[in-house]
Amino acid sequence: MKITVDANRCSGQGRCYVVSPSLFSSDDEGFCAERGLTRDVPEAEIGAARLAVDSCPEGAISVPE
Amino acid sequence: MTTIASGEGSGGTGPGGVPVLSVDIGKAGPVLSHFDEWDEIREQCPAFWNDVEGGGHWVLTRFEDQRDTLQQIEIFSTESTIVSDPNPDYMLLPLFLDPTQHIKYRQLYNARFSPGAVERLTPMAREACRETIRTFLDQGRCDFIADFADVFPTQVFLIALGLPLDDAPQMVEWVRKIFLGLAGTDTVIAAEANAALSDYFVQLLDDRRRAPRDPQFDMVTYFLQARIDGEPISHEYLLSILVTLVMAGLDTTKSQLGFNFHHLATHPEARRWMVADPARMPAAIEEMLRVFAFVPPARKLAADIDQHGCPMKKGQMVLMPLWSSNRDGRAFSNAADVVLDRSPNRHIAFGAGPHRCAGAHLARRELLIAMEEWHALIPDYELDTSEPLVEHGWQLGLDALPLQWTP
Repeated sequence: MKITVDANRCSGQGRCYVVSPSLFSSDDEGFCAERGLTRDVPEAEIGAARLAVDSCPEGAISVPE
Repeated sequence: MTTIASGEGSGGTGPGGVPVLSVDIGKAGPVLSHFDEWDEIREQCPAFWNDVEGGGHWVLTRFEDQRDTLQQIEIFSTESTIVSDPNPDYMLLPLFLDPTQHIKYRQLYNARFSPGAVERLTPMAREACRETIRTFLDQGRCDFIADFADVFPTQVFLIALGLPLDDAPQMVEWVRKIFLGLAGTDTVIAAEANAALSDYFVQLLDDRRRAPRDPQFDMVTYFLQARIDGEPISHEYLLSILVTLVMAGLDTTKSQLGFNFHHLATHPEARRWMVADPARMPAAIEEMLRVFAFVPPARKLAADIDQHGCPMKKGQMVLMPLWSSNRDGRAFSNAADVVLDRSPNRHIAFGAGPHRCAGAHLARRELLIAMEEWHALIPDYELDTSEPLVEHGWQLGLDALPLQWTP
């Protein structure tokens, strides 16, 4: 599974790195530090990944097919 | 269709066959009445033309529509965000700036209100919170709004700016008077308070120009030394930045604190559940942010556009009460219920898009500190009145919240 954060949509709401800190972190301005990246999700982190997708108010996080 | 609005001129259809209602969000009412009213309106109308005194404006009621609109800042501009005043003669910065300029200013704010910055000011904020509670702890009663919610956010504001906490009582007074003026009361006193607050910042700006302090701690120096496109920020803009921080950061946190503690005071089982394990508090705060969202942002159409079934015209205003969208059952199951361990919770209580509340991280920390410190000292409390509590309109909030406990 892959996970991606749309850098144009990320407004620094700060949910992803609070609910799924194993996958996301905050940069110095409060944006998702991993925005603009598409990354593989380890098996053990799939739950955390789906939670982050569902927790972003902007809908910036997705699981591309 | 059923008309459920208040006032005259409602019913029937307007441009594009969109319903016309006449809803006054500025009216006061019993606590939670605006939330209840809009839970009904949202289910009747995803969008409507609000025919109110002085003109009218579009209203969007549902989560996806509000979220999408707030993300489209080119079309739905912040040239004005005051629904009753599409052409204000003042600037709220950086809110009113066009997108290219806004993002440059916003970068300055983000660094000062980031999770890291919030972490650094937490110890001082926590101490201020405890001291404030101790001023009334032994009395066994307080007006939570006047004695705590008016005070603590102001203290945190001063800490964030690196200003002395001794200035807090004076600032609390000015802000109280200014916001009474916005509600239409005592407008002369409000004007005096506005002038006094402006003067306070003018003096600070003058002082820091002559004797700059460490910009990492002193926010006035930080903004004085900032450069936008290589240029310093004008005096007029600097003043607007500082005043807007006051206008945006104090009344809001105050409102949220009021709703949070009203809920906890009237729901003892939920309160005990939360207090039993303080690790439950962050999620509980997110839920209360969602279900008691109180800000009604507005945008001004920068172009004609047909959206949400509405033939919107350039220059018109669009109102998006966040209490309507954040209780939308299309986005949240059991949306009107306060589910303190709700997960996931993708509320837009802080708005959405590039103008997402710059103070969101700070607000969350203030709410958490208040939650932790209050319940450490006063775990059990209840309302100290049988009189109905009043919720004012526009940016919703309780006027008073009398609480009592055993000291």
